[in-house]
Amino acid sequence: MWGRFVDLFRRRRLDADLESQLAHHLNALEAEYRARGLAPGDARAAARRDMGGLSQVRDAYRDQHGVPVFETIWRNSRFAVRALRRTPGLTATIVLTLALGIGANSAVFSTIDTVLLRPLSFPDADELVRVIQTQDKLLVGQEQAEALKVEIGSALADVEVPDFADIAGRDLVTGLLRRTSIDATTVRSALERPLAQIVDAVKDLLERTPPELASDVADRGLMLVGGGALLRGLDQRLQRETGLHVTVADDPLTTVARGAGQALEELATLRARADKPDKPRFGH
Amino acid sequence: MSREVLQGTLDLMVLRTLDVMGPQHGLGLAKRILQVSEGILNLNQGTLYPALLRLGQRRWIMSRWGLSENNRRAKFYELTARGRRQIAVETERWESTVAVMAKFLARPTGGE
Repeated sequence: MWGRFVDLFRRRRLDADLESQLAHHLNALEAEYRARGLAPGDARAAARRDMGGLSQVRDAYRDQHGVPVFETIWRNSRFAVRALRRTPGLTATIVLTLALGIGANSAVFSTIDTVLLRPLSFPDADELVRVIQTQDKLLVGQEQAEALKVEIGSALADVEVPDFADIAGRDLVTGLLRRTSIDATTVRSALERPLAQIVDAVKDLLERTPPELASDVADRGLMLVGGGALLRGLDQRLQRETGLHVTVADDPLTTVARGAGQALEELATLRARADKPDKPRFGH
Repeated sequence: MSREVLQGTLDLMVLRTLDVMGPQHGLGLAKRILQVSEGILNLNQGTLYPALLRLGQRRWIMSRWGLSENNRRAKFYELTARGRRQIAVETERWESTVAVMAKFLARPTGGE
């Protein structure tokens, strides 16, 4: 198969090779017949008879040095190009449609990839549970850790929070219940890794924002919604890292649900806006 | 024998001829094959060339340009190491085919 593939790229030379070999062969046979005393015309005919049908030989040779699948693809694409050339208007329309389609899709997907598909970690209490487990040899529940986060967690060092908070859990050494106090710095460093990921994701998305949208974002800034927005200092941290004005929505826990409800009530308005894609907006 | 030489049979004939005679051009091979078959094989000599190409693609033979005995430029074919191994394989296959056919064609010698 590889040999055939290689031959695909030197078909012209192979064809020339075959012709010169066939000519050599024919001439030699003809010369022999003439040496045996045949008239020139008869000798030529006899030589041809010995060789067999030359066009058949050429066909068999070509079949052998082409790779059938590639040959067919090549032939079909040449036909397609000819057909398209005959109808330039249609061709232009098709090419334009494809280009727009591909362009729009890749734009949409790069956004979706960042916003939805990239698993975005939430500054949850898992990390906190692990830190307390290794640092204080204390196994605490998910809920207790979450409460601790709400009580003294922050996204920035210079945010006012209580210095310490108590937490109860099972001592990993003795197996008994034990209380300990955790300081705010421990909580903040436990949250640091997921926070850094969130900041990165926001920056990444801003870099990919089309310019029309970007001016809008620069005007209005970012609004944080969802439970994660309740983390103290998250808005200031994002504001510091992105240079944009960042606000937290009123009652961020329910924003998404309320927004969805409102969207259902005002479907007509949304549809009208969706039909006019020349002025894209973020609906907050 | 008919003009249609069984594929594979011709391959083996070509390989074996190159094995015995060393590098040959197409004309020489055709002559030799006809000579060995004592005229029974009525070969269309042109069919040799697609076969030679096929054998080359399988790397069983290789070819280079040279001068024929009457000082013409001709393409000489010779066996590769793989081709030499292939002769053994093909010979074995051919012999087993012959053996099977012989069993079928043998006249019953009584019994059974």
